[in-house]
Amino acid sequence: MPDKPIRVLLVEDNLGDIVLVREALKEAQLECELSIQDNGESMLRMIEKSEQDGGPFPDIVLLDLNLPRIDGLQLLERMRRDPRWAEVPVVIASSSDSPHDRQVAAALGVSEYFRKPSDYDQFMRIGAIVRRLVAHLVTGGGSTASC
Amino acid sequence: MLGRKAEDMRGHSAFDFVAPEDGELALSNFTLVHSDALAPHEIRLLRWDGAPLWTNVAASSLRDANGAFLGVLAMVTDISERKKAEEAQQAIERQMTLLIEASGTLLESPASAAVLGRLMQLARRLVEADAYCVWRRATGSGAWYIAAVDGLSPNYQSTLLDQMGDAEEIGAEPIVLEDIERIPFRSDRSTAYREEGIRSLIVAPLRIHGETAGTVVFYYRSPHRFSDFEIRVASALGNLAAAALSTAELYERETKLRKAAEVEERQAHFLAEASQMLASSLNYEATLNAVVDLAVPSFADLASISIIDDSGETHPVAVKHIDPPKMPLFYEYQQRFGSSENSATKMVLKTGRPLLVEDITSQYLAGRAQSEEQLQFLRDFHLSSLILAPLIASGRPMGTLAFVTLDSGRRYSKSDLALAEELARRAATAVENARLFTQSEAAQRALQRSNEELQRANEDLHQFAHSASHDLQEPLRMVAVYSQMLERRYKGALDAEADQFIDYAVQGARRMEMLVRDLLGYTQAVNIDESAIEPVDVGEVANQALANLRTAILESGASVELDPLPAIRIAPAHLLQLFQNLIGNALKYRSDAAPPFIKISSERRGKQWEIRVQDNGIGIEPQYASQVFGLFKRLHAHDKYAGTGIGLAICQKIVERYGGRIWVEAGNGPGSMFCFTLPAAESAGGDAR
Repeated sequence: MPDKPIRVLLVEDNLGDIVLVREALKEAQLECELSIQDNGESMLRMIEKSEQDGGPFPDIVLLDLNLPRIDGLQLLERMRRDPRWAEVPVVIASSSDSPHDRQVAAALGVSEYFRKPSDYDQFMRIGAIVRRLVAHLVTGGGSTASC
Repeated sequence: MLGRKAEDMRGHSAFDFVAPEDGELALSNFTLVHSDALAPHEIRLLRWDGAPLWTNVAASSLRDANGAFLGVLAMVTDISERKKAEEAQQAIERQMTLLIEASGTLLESPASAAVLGRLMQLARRLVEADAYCVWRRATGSGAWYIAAVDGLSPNYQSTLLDQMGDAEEIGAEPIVLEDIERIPFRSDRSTAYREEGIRSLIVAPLRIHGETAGTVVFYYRSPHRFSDFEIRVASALGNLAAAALSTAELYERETKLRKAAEVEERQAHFLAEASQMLASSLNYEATLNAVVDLAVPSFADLASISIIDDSGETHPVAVKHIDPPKMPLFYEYQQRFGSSENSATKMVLKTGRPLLVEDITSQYLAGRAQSEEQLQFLRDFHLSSLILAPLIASGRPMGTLAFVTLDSGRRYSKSDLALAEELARRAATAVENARLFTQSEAAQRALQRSNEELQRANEDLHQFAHSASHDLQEPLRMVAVYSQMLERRYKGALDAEADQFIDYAVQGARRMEMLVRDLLGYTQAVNIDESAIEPVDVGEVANQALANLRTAILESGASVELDPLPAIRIAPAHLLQLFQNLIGNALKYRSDAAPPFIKISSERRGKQWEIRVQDNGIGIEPQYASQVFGLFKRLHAHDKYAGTGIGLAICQKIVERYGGRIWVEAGNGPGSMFCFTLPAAESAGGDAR
């Protein structure tokens, strides 16, 4: 067993979706440390704080786009400016199907664009996506962490 | 010689037989004869009856041998005949001189009244008659009238005027009557002559352009023997008068014509200028004001144009008074008496006929005024002449044009009235045009406004539908996912009824999702950039739609037949959606009897192509044929055929966007045939097969 669980950061304001993501991670049998930022502003503060004190930052970020105050794409861009945060794989989880959002996200190098479906089974697929990323981190990145 | 007897004369002084007027001459001659310095000379002696006798006296002194004066020897010759002839000659010369002067005097004056005055003066000097008269004939009617008279009683004048018929002709020769009592002339007039005491007369015709246009008549109250010379003088005076009168009358006629032409020209100029104003602007109140400004003072002292408003009341919209401080009086009059039912304005409006009062007399005003007060007002205006013309447009009186002259004393004529009527006509047209323009402008503005409002409302609606659809999707997703989660976790854990409830929630959420998705499609259906419209190969787009529906086609085992298809002008995305919806429907509403069969064909319809999508499905009953294109219209229950009732509404919206039409027919055999028309791609030559 890994000495340290994988840290997944979910940036999401909708409680219903937070529950569903937690459910999906559980269904995918991923044991990880899930932390939540429920608005853009607190997420930005977290990024800035970790920059200053070299404090902890997540292994994977699940990012909603339609967030209060500061939207997901702005946060993504901010993350990409910090060398450590720039390396963190990001999965966009949004209900938006706008081509514009997809293009910007792709340009900023996201690992996956997950459009939140209204079908339960399909929603659960986000667990499989995270699992695949974790596998990649473990094998490719030689990370010390595992689920 | 003197008719005296010698014995009567003897013992008398020779001076006793000299005419008194020559007494002094005789005395001085006597002195002269003493010194033998007396030449033969003429002197008047006294006849026995006291009448003077012209004689020639050649006298010389008689002397003795010493030269002493003894007496005078005079040879006296009767020269009365010669003297008479000489006097006659002098009279002729005097008259000739007068005639020559007369010709100058008569021809000098251009006015016929002055000519007549001078003619009378000359007649008195040239011909010693008792009365004189210039008779004239009116041009046209030929009626005789007296142009100038001296010495005839009014009674005689009127009697003669009555007796002289229009037809009475006078020749070119003078008429000479020496004694009417002895040689009667015109027995019908003898009483008149007698009463006036006329015994003799000479009529000299006035010959103008070869016709007798009048006469100059010299009357005598005693018989008169006319010498040839007198007759010739009378004739000459007549001829001279005729020439002078003809010249004067010609001049007067020309002057009158020139003045008329000037008036006409001024009127034409005024009309032209006013008309130009009327035609130049659609702001009729300003234009009418400009017209009244133009009319005062050249045509009127007071000009006003009144217009009937929507409530039928007449209001002055343009007024100009030559004396602006008097304007309030006009307005006050209008306000107090203008709306009276029998006002001149109302009458003109009622009859549609103009009113011309050439001379506004106090009787006229008294006849018009309804009260003493009104009469006072009218008097205070000092009205002189009036024209009131109706403004008529499209056969309907819409106002009046009034021209009034005040103290100026100018009188309006029929030609002024004609001008005012013409001006009123043009003013009416201008007012009508302006009103029509204003109305159409207002209508256009209203139309534009409602168009803009409609467009805005449409945009709002689209925006609303779009946002609503988007924002609805989020909570809907929650309902859908969580109802599914409930189903998954608690199916069978509660009772059967709970399972049923959860199922309803799951189905409802699913349908709602479809509705929202299709509604979003509907609002986006025609929001497309013009530049996306291009000639499109219909067959190509149909194949693309079939490719998109591949799964459903395979699942249903459907077969599709494509006829050769033309090119049309459309945004490709629109045509794709049309085909997807129609082919999708054909697959969905398939009959149980046979696997779906779909045929796509086309036919040229003028500038459009008719595209047909035919199937062998369950068909549509004719009474629902038009209903199916309505938004949310469905013919079947959800449990039988899922759907939102939006697909065909989207199709109709797209087709109508291009000016086409969509409808459904029974087609040949079972199923239905959806047809729609769209504009042909003319650039591809109309037939792009």
